[in-house]
Amino acid sequence: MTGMTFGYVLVRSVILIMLLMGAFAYFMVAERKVLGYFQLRWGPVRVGPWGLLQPIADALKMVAKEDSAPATADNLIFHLAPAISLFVALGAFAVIPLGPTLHFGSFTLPLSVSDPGSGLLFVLAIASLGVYGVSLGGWASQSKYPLLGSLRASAQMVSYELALGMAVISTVVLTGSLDLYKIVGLQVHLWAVIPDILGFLIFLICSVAETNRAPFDLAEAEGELVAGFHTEYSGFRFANFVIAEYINMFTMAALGSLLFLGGWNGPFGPSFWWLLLKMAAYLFFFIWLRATFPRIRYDRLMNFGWKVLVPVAFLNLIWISVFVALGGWR
Amino acid sequence: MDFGAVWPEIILAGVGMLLVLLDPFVGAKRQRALGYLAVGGIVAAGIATLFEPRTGEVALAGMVILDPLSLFFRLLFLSAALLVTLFSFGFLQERDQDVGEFMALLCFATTGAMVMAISWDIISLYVGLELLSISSYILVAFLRDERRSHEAGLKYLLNGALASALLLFGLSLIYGLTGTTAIPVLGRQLAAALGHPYGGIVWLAVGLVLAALAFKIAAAPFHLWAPDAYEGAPTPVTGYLMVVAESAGFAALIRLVSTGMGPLSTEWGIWLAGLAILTMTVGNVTALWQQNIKRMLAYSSVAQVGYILAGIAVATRGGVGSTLFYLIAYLFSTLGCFAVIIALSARGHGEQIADYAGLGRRRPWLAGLLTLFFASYVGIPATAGFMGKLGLIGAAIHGDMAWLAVGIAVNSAISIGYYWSVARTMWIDPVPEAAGAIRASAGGSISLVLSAVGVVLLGLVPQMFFHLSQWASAGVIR
Amino acid sequence: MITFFIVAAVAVAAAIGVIAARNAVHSVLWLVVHLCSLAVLYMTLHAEFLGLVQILIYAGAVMILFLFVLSLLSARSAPNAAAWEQPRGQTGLAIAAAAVVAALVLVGAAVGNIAAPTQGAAGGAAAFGTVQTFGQALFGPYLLPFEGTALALLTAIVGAVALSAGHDDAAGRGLPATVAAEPADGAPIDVSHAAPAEPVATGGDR
Repeated sequence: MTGMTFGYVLVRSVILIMLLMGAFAYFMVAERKVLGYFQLRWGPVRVGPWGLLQPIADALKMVAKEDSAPATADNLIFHLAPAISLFVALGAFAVIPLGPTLHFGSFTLPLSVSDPGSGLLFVLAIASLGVYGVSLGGWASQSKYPLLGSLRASAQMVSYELALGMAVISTVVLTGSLDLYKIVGLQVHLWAVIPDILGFLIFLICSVAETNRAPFDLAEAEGELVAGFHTEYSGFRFANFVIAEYINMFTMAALGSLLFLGGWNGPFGPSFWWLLLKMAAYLFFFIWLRATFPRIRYDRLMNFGWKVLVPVAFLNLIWISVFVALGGWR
Repeated sequence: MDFGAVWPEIILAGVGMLLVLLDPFVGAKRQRALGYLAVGGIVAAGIATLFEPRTGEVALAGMVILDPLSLFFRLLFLSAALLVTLFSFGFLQERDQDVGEFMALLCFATTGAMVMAISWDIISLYVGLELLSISSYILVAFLRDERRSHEAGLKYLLNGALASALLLFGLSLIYGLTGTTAIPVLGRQLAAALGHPYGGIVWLAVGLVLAALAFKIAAAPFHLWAPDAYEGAPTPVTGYLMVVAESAGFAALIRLVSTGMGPLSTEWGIWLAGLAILTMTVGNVTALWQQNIKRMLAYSSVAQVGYILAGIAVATRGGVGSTLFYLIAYLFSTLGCFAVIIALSARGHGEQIADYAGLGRRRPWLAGLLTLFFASYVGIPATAGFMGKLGLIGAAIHGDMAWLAVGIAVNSAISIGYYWSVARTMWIDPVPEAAGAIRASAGGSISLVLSAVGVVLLGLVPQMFFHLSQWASAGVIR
Repeated sequence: MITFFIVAAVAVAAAIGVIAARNAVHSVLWLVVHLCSLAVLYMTLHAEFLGLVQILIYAGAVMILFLFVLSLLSARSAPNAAAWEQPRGQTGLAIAAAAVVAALVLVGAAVGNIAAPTQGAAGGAAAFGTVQTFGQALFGPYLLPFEGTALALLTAIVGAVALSAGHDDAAGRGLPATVAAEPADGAPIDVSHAAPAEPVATGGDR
């Protein structure tokens, strides 16, 4: 941490958390609006103009609700699990750069909380801990639907993490770096998605599965499991899970844009907005999927993950290695 | 990178992977072909071994050494694997087991044992040990439909994992004390560390390593897993473990303790000698009460381990040489015994000693050969075991441990008790009424004949093998 | 240095937690804490790659599988008192042994050159622990152990498949009685425990 004091990092962390919370609140509204239009209805319109104050109302409702726990629950872990979820989601975002380092005279402002050099690995490492929130939450509830939901979720997330990792590694092989700044820097002329289209598709599918979003939201399949792993949660703890899920979506969108879509590289204008635009498109795709596809059956989900995605990801890695060996993009 | 140094291991591991790959595509009828492939791989690895240098060059960045001892152990493991492969065919097919996976695991295990024997660094030694152990755990539990096999596998796994943990703890302490993982420099550094106030850690580390290896070779008092694991395991695997896994443990002992901790030999020599006496006594005395032949052989193998340990305890070149010679003798006697047991169990013949009643009249050849192998275990003149024990006793006397020599002699006398009881059952007891026909499979017969020839050759013309083992032990004590 | 002592204390406490916890899931969690603090220790030693991989592999994958199996097998959080063998003096013995070892190592660290590796830390301080040096060490001098470990893992996978999968005809027939007929204790949670779940009413269309 050269030239950065603890306080400086703290301030930037707080700013990032504020940003993410704000983004979460309004992405939620946007999602409901978009879903509404997909389904020929209005979505939220009552609170404020065009329903723009809806998140405030939601937040008030969440905080005001009774915080209940089942009598049989494992108390400590039951209360710890939502916190783990949120903590991990926020932590993973800490090293994601939202743009190139800004220079104001002698003062430099990197647009990430921290840059550990192998930032990509850091994101993957922290994100891999996200399963704990889900699986512990389900177990600690000590009732059957949460347990089933959490078992499904852990199996699904661990399985898809493998293919996801392979897809990410294909970019690493392509750019020869684990540093997110360098990875983006190398994509100035050609986005990684051009040679690595397969890797991008795998990443896209896995990112949906990793965040437990429809059509891969088996962990909270309301038709069969009530609400899956968070059945027993209410009030603010429930909100924690939801917030964590959305922030994980942001992380995935940012990673996908940085790794495959050229990050903040764009044809004109300030670079910062290009990344946001790509993330927005990525997130819109998430919503689109949710509006379009029915939930996939659990055994097919696992079969698809292990028998299709993982082998294809390996083949893709071999292809990318051959591509790099033949000269890559230099 | 000079991959040339490990061609035998590469070939064997490659054949193992090929077997795993081919296994799903080969129908149940053709599984035999996979067995032939494994035999081919083992033979090819053996031929590759003969072309390896044997002048003591260190290769792969100090990880392995190619000296006479490497050659010796590689050939020992490959011969044992070959014999086991031959008598596994029939055994597996009768029980409807998957030949491909079994042979693949056998190849992996043998690769691990070979890596252990050629290691010149703690890390490669440990990795080889783990490869051997993991494959062995699975092989022991391989009979999916037999509860006994599962239980044996679990017991072996739990004990083996504990031993691995002890070894790793000891090795990490050694690395902390010496700052090196290279076996040739360990000893001096350890001896130097002994002079410091924290010298006690040296003994802790050495003790942990010795205890862990004693676990692996099933030396008393760390042998408690052995009878259960050996009894429950598929019979060919029992033979394989007794020979390859234990010999690999001795290879590790020779590399790590005889060579690596050479400067401390006066201390660990006494410890190992005590261990040897205890092991042979416990093994022999407990074997007297056994009713199941595999269990009896398990205790008898514990006793044999005790004899072999004596050769290492004296910490002389002659001692190591006799150990190596005895390992060859032990290989042939043990695998011979198991070839007979498998041939007998082929038609549902029981594993209880009482089931062997009257075998001498029904199958005089099988009974005769089993008696020969027992004679070799006891050390009757003109068999391999006799020459082996002679060498060990000689080494003990030369190494100023005459009491060890007395221990070996007394224990050999005790062991006559249980071998004789089996022999008496076979030759003197009457034939039971409901006795079916017994037929040995072709592969089983080949390995049976090879073992018998080995036992007799070692007993009658031992010079060649004496020279081989003396040559192989040349660089061990530095 | 202060970081080291704090993290080391956490690591030791968590390790004690692993063996002291009466509930298997709690043990797993303590182990996760322990592994994560080890990762932090690696990072303070500038072995950045190792630290991250430690989290990724151990905390993120291996322990999750532990947790998965445990919550599958012992769904209930109440510890089964009967299943616990009361230690008879082992605790005291273990503490004494640990104290002796710790004392010796501390003496070594204080008095001698116990932590002065003669090899290993090659490559200079700047590049130490980076992905590049790590990779070069792994595929250079340590190639044989690396490949050997890979083979061991392959063996374990083959073994897991060989021991568990396939053989439909054998299902139920040859399985040990204890596995085939798991007692009520191992069954996933009584129905009586599953309180009627509160309908989760938030955000309308979630």
